[in-house]
Amino acid sequence: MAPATATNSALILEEPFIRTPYELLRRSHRSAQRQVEKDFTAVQTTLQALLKSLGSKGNTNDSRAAALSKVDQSGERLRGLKRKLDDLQPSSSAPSPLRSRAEYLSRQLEPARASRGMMETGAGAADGDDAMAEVRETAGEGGAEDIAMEDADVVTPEWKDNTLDRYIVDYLLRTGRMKTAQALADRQGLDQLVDLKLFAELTKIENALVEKQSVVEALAWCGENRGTLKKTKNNLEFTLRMQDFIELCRKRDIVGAIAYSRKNLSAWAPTHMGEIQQGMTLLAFGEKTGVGSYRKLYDRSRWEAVRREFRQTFLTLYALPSQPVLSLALCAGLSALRLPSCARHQPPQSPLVPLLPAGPPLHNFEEALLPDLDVSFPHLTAPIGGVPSSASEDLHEHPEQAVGNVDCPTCGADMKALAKEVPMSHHVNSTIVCRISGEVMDSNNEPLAFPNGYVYSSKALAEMAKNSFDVVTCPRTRESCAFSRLRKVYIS
Amino acid sequence: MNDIDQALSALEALASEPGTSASGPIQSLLDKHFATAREQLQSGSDPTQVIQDLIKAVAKSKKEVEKGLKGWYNGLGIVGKAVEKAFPPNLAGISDAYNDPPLFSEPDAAAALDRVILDSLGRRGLWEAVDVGAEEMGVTYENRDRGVSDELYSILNAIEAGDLQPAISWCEENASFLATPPHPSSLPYYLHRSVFLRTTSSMAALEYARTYLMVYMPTQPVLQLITSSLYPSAATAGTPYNHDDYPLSKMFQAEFCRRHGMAKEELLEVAVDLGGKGGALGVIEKARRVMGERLGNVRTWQDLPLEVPLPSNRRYHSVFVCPVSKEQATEANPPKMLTCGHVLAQESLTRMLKGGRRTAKCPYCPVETAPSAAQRLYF
Repeated sequence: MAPATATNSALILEEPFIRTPYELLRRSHRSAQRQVEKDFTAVQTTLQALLKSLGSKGNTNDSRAAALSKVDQSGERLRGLKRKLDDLQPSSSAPSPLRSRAEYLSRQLEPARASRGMMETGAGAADGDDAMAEVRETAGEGGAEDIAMEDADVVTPEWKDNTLDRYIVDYLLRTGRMKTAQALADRQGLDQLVDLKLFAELTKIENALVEKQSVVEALAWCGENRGTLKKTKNNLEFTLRMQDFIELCRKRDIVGAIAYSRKNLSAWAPTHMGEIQQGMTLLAFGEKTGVGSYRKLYDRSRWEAVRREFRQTFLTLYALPSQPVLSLALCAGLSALRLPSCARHQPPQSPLVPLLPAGPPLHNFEEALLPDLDVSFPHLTAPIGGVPSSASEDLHEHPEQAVGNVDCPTCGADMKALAKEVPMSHHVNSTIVCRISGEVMDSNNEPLAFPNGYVYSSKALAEMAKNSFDVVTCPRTRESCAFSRLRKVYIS
Repeated sequence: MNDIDQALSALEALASEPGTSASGPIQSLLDKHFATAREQLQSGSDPTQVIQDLIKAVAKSKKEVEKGLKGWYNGLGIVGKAVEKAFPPNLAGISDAYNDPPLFSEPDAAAALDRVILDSLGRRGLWEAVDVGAEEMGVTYENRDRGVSDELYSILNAIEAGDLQPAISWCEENASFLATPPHPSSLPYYLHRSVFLRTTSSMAALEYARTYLMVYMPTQPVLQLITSSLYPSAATAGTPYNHDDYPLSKMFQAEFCRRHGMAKEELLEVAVDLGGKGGALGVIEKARRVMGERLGNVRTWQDLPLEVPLPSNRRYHSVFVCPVSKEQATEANPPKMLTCGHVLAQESLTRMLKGGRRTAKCPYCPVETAPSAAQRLYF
């Protein structure tokens, strides 16, 4: 795969990672605009009122004192506004999450520059921002395992590690496990990299909807985002208003309901006439009505539907996908791996049992070492199983059925439950994995078959033969034979 | 990414100059006009006049603030364009395609995913999160590996910190396991070797070698290692005496996981890594785009429509695809090796024997095989 495409498809899931903080920046700007409008109008009104009241009194001590206090009051208000604006406007002294994340991503994209860049930003941030320094400290503590991976992986360890944790946090937030998400984010130093606050807001409003059955919070959010919602022709506000109206009808507050509908529902008439008409009928029918369609409107489960619609709107507005990123990645990953042969891994009875019926036991160990060391590790594939006590007793009749691979993600019990939902992988070519070494066999490491049909890689079998007078033993059936009796298998 | 960076810097630069920031005009309004107004009022000027001036100043300042907001908005727009370019909005559509039904939303699957997450966190030693998580999820999470995982991390941390003693002790405790076929491990040798190489005093190093390294004489180049201490490290590059560092922690982790029957890599991490960064989702998405409606809802697919390339270290099972029928072998349709060594699936072989033929000619070579001579293979 070309590096460019690899990067692009690798970044598919990072879209909300960048877009969400951008949407938050836009949100800051909007609230700055609102704040400016509000505070300036207030100041101007105060001063105009003051001017009017001064008009009659003229230049007296009293009037001057009154004016002074009003001026101070307005000044204080403006000072407050200035502080708010300074907080809202993105600046280099308090880096926005978008900045941290853009830096984070570009560090990962250019691993060569990684360590240097990280140190620079680390030092820079430490001066201005204690929180950032702390974040890095924690990351350092949790970094032991990263370093363990460092030698073999091309990509820098932080990337790999944090990616999973970021996705997990996102999943936890979406499923309402705020405390767990917080704990994980704290432990791994992810504060700037996950949307804790945003989801806290979402959860708060959702709880208000479902538990308190109150639309106030959700309507406030709609008000804040009215422009965007209007642009996307979103119906959320109508749904909320309708629900509010239904609640008034439930209480049989007919006068209040009519007033409410005049005020809040009539504006939606051009687009939602049908629903409004249906809703209006509730003025006549009470909660206990026998008419199905009205009963349905009264149903408490409508709150749940309102919550779902709110969540969907909220996520869309902040460029968050409708499903957890973790699920999407997991779905794709599992379906790339899932095979009909994935079976539950049976752990050996005792860890000391020399036979490992399960899958590639050597963990691709040689890969961790230098390639030229392959030959100098005779013991890695030394005789397996020793002398068979009784061939027939030990024979695994159908080893294919029960044998999973402890290393394979889709073989684990829980993962298997998840994998059930995803498609099987597709293969157009054969890939034969050696059960002894875990290596994929190819023309340099051809498959050899025992007379009973069990196939292993020639490298592993040759090592075994070298150490036991040319006798090889099948680790699954314990059949032994001379190396020369093995047959070459041609997989095309 | 660079575009985003630059646009963001430009946006941030606005805030640093009082002339361009949104709050700048307010500051000067306060500093100049409000302060002047105060002074004038205190010194007895006509308040009507003072307030009138102030109102004018406020109106003017408001215009300037709005100008600042406008600049801010424009800067934001440029950032937005860069974001749009680097991250076009694709994910919403992708995610929606999987909405019917949402992924892993069945109670069983959701519970399994929770457990997988707790396993993943525990495996990486993040017990704080595991504890909070188990409580919040309302599950009792008993992990028999808790002590095991802690042990692994304490030893790994020690290795990273340069202290090999815990690792060596672990090897001694598990000496019989490490020495047992089929995997006698060279880990103890490499640990001792590393201690030897780190010992600065050559006498102490020799003593150490005598005590600990001689055992490995039959299998490891111990003498070569000892001799190397005679040469200063600078002169040894490219010679047999040059000793590269071995990824001891990785080696240790591999042995440790093997000892406890744990997967060598954390499973959730493998799957998620493969799905996202590994590009599986990208490949699947491409198929979905290209084939469009014909394949129907992605949630009802039985098989992926195309192959997701897997790196060889992500191959966990053998897959045999019959070269004739292009079907994957199954228990009902197992792979059969002909006398020449070529392998076909049973059904293909049966098809070639149609019409009462007694032998089948291999599609790849001239050799004929009788059905009874075809050998079932187990990969």
